[in-house]
Amino acid sequence: MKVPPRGTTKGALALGSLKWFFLGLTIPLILSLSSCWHPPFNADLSASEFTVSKLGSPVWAVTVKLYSEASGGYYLPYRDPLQYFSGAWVWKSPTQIRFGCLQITGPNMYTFNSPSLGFPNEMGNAVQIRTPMGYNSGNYVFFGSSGGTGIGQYALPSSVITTYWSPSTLPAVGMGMVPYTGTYDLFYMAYFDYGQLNYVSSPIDSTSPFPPSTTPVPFLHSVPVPAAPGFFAQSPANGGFYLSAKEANGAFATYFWSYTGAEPIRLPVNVQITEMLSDGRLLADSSSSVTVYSPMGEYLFTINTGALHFVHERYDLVNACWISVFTRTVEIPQQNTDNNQYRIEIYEIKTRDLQNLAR
Amino acid sequence: MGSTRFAALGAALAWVIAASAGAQTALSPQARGGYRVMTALTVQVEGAVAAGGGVSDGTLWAASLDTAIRRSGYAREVQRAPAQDSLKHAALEGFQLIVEGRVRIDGPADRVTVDYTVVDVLSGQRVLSDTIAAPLPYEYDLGETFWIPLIYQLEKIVPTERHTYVRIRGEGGTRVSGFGPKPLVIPNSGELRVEVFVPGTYPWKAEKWGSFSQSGVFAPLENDAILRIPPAPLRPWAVETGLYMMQFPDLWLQRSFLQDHVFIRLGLQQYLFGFFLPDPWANGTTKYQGIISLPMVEPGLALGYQFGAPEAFLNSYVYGAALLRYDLDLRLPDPVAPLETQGMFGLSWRASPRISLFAEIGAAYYPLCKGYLVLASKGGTDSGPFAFLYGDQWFLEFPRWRLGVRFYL
Repeated sequence: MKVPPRGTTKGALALGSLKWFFLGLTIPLILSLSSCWHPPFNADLSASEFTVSKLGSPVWAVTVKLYSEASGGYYLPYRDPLQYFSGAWVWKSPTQIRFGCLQITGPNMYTFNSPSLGFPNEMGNAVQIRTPMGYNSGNYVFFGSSGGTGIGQYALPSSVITTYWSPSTLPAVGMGMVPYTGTYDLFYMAYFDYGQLNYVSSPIDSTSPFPPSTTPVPFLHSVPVPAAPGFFAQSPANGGFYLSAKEANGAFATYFWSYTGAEPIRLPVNVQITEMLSDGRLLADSSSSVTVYSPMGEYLFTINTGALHFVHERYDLVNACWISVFTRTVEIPQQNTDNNQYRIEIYEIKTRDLQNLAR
Repeated sequence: MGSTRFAALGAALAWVIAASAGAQTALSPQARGGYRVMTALTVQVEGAVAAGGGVSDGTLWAASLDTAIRRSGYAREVQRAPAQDSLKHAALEGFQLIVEGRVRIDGPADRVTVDYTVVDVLSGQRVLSDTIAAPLPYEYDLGETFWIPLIYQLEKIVPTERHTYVRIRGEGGTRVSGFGPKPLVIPNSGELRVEVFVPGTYPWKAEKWGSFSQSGVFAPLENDAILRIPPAPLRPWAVETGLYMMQFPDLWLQRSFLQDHVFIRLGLQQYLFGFFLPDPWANGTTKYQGIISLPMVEPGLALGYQFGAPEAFLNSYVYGAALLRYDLDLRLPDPVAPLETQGMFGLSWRASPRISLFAEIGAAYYPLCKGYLVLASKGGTDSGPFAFLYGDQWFLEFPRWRLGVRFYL
C-alpha cells in the first residue's frame, strides 16, 4: 500500500496569495516614483556633434560662466575674425527674438548684458539676424523681423538702441540679407503697395547710415499674397529674385523671377528658404538641419546642425574665397547654481566645401 | 497488545525487504542523531517559598528539563507535549518517548519532590518511573545538576522502533540528503529504497545539477511509503521587462548558465517612450510633460553573476552592461557618446517559479565622449536626483535604478 508522504514539499518558490498583494503594491509604487530624470541625450547636440566632427577644430572657442539670464541663448560673433571675442547673444524662438551682448575681455573676464525686451518674430526660421561686415567700436546687429514691418538695428555692445525702418507702412512679405561683396551685405525687402509688389534694397555694413536710403522697384508680375512674411532676396550670382513664404493653405512656396519683368516661376522647394549663399545657393534652416538647394531649387544636400548655427558668410581676402561661419553654444549645467557654464565654439569652412558636411 | 503485534509485523516485513532489496540503503540508529522526546511537567507549590529561596516558577522548571534532555545528546529533538492526548500526538508526530513529571514544592520546608515517568510511545508502556527528592534548587543548580539522575536513567532506555523501507522516486542523479549521514543518489532507474525508522520525521533536501533544489519533511507511517521528488528543471531562458529609472520601459532576453549563477542578457533600452514627471515649478528647460520621447535606442549586452541559489526567495546579483547608443535621427551611433556602460547591483524576489520581480541600482559610465557635452545633453541639473563626475573623455552618473519583472520561459 502506498502511503503518501506526510508533510509538504517545502516549495521554496511558493508564496501563496501574498505575492498578488505585493504586486498590487509594486505597480502603483513604480508609477508614483517615476522620476524626472532626463537621459543624457539631446538630439540637437548630437546632430551638431556629427557635423562638428567634420568641421574639425574650432577657429575660436572659450568657456565662460554666465548669469542665469544667458540660458537658452547662443553666441553670434562679429564678422571680423579678429573680433570673434565679442558679439551678440541671441535668444531665438519661433515667436520671439531677443538680443544681448557678450564681450570676452580676458581669462574668465567678460561683459555681458541681457535686456529683457524682446521683439516679436513673425518670420519663424526665416528671421534675418546679422552682424554687419567690418567692425567699429559701436557695432550692432541687424535683424529683419520686428513684426515683419522692416529692419531693426540693435546697437552693441552696451548702448541698447533699437531703430526700425521700413519703406512702407504695409507689412513686408519677405526680407533677406545676402553677402554681396567682401565689405557689405545687401538688405532686401518686398512688400505689397495697393496690390503692387515692390522691393527695396540697400547695402548694410558696420558703417552704414541708418535708416538706409532706398528706391522702390516694382515687379511686373505678382504672386499670391503670403500668409506670413518669409524670405526675399536677389541672388548675387544670377541676379534673379526669390520669395519663399507660407501660403494661405499653410504650405511653403518659393518663387523665382529672373528679372523684375519676368513671370515668376514656382520652384520645387516646399520648405521655408531662410538664407542665400554668396554663390546663389539657397538654404533652408529648420533649426535641426540646414538643407541646401541649387539656385533653381533642386535639392543638393542636408547638413545636420542641431545646436550648431549657420550664422553668416565672411570673405577671406587672403584666400579670396567665401567662408561659411557656424557657431555652437553649449550650456553646461552646474550643480547648486543657475549660473551655468557656456562652451562657445566658432567653426569655419569654405562655402564651396559645404557639401563636405552633408550627412 | 495490538500495537506490539503491529510492531513485530513491521519489523518482520522490514527484514524480508532488507534481505531482498537491491538499490536500498540502511540507516543506523546513531546516524539519526538521537531520539525525539516529548516532555510534560506539572509544578505544584505548597506554602510560600522564602524570598531568595529556590526556583518555584513552573516555566523555569519545564525549560530546565527540556534543556537538560537536549543537552544530553540523547535526543535530537525535544518538544513540549500538548495538554491533552500527549501519547496520541507523540505517536502521530513521530516521537519515541514522553517524559512526564510532577513537581511538588514544599515552600516552608524548602524542598522539592519530582515524580517522573518515561513512556515508550510505540508500545504505550511506562518504561521508567522514579522520584527525585532534594532541597529546592536555585536557578543555577536547576539548570546544571538537578536533572542528572533522570538523564542518567533516560540514556539507558532504548525505545521501541520500527524499521521499514521507503522508496524515493525522482530523477536519476538527484542527491537526496536527510536520510543518513551522507547524501544518497537516486540511480538512473529513478527509484531508491531507504531503510528508515518509523514513526519518524525526516527533513530532506534534493539537489540536482540543472534543477532547482527541493526540500521538505517526510513522515512515513507505514512500510513502503513513497517520497516523490518531482522534476524541477531550471529555466535558463527568461524575458524581462523593466522601467529604467522608473521611467523608460525596456526589454531583455536572459540566458543563465552554471546553475543560474552566471547570466548573459541581450536587450534593448529605449527612450522613445517614457514617463517624465519633473518638478512643475522647476525653472530652466524642464517642464511638466508627463511623457518624454527621445530619438534614441540602446541595444545592449550584459554579463552578470547571481549570488544565491536559483530557488532562493530573495536573490542578489551584479552585472555589467555595454550599450550602443543609437541615434535614430542620425541613424548612427550617438556622436556625443556612442557607448554606455553600466554596473548594477540587483535584488530579485522569486514570486513564483516563472516570475520574479527585481530592483537594481548602480551607475552609468560613458567612455569615448566629451564629458561636458554629455552633461549638457541632460538639459539641467534639476532633471532628477543624480550626481555626476566628468572629464575630457568620460562621464559618470549615479545612481541609476531599474525595477521590473522577469518571466522564465
